Amino acid sequence: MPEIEYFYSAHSAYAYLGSARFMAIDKAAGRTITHRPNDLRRLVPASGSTPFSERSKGHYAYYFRREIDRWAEERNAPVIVGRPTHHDKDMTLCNGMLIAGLVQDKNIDQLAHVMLESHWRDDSDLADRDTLVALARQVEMDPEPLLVAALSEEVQAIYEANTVEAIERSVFGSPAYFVDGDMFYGQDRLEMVERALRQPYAPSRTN
Amino acid sequence: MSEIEYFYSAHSIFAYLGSARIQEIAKASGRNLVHRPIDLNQVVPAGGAASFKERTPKQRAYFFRREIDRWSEERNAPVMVGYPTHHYKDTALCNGMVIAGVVQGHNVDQLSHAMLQTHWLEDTDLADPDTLARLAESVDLAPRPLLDAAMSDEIQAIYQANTDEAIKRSVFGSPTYFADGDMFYGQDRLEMVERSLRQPYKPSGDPNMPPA
Repeated sequence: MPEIEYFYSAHSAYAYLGSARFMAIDKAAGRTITHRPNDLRRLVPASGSTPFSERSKGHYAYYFRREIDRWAEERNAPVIVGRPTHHDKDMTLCNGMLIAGLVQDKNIDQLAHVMLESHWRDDSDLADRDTLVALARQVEMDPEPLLVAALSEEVQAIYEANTVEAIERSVFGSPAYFVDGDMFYGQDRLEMVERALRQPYAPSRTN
Repeated sequence: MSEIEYFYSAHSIFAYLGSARIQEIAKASGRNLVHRPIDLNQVVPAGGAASFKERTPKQRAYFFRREIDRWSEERNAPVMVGYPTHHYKDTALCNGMVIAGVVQGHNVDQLSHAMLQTHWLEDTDLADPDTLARLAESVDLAPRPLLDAAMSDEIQAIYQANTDEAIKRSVFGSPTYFADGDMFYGQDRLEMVERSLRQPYKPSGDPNMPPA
């Protein structure tokens, strides 16, 4: 079955806002989602984007408040008021847990969704093991094998490889979707992803 | 009549890609489109965005080629192959001409559209007075009064005031639309502009979210 590649981090606001819609689009198209969690804090500066800490106040007010709120309404994906308490913690464990699920041949669509949703709607701490245990149980997955493997060399090597490949393939941030090689950056491009699955956009002509 | 404020420059690719659609949306909602041409060379750096020349080759390939081509298909707004020859020329004259039209009481929707479209489809030189005269004639506007006024102190002061106000109101680039105070940056937000005119989005609770 053909796939859609999905580069994101489990704590990303825009991955959350697009999560349900993306899965609906994917399902309707009969494609498999290939999850590629990556380290956003390395990716963003490496991609040439301005690091979060250097952005202006106007930029924050627009991109990290007004846009989030309007898209939350648009996508019917509620968000907390303010910023998640645990947003700056290390995301290696939760992203590793997702990759461990893939390595162990599980479908992780729902696990990824509840991580994103609980972080942005319920202020959950994605660096906390007990929280991750509860989230896995909520989607009827056995948490222990996933958490045991999450920080293993094998899984962390995949996390690293995803990050390096994302940088190499011009991913600028989270989420980014690839449909048959065509990259769509941002959940605001999901309607174009849907269209590309139905009818690919014409290739770009070069000079 | 209530309005939609429209900040852009007459040479801006994404203003072109959204040009027909914003005019259609304005018309359907019965709103007046208030043209506020701005100097992008001042607005873009002030908004904290990297200038076009500072962007990486990968960013250019995505934002200034792939995105242009896909949106061009999506909006049914054809673009030339390659980059407009005269894209880096001074835009004070063409933007001033649009403002002159506003000051002289004309509807500048079609003039603005013709500038944007010909620059990106036919490689026109928007710094050339003869080209601008021809474009005005193509939309049935007398070119002389507009061109005579375009570089006047009065018109250029409005151009600068638009630019200053855009910077003050956190406009990041072109095009930017304001519907009842709510800012929408980018022609990719036009469907949200349309929705907002029908039903405004709820206000945000926490405008001063700290850095991520």
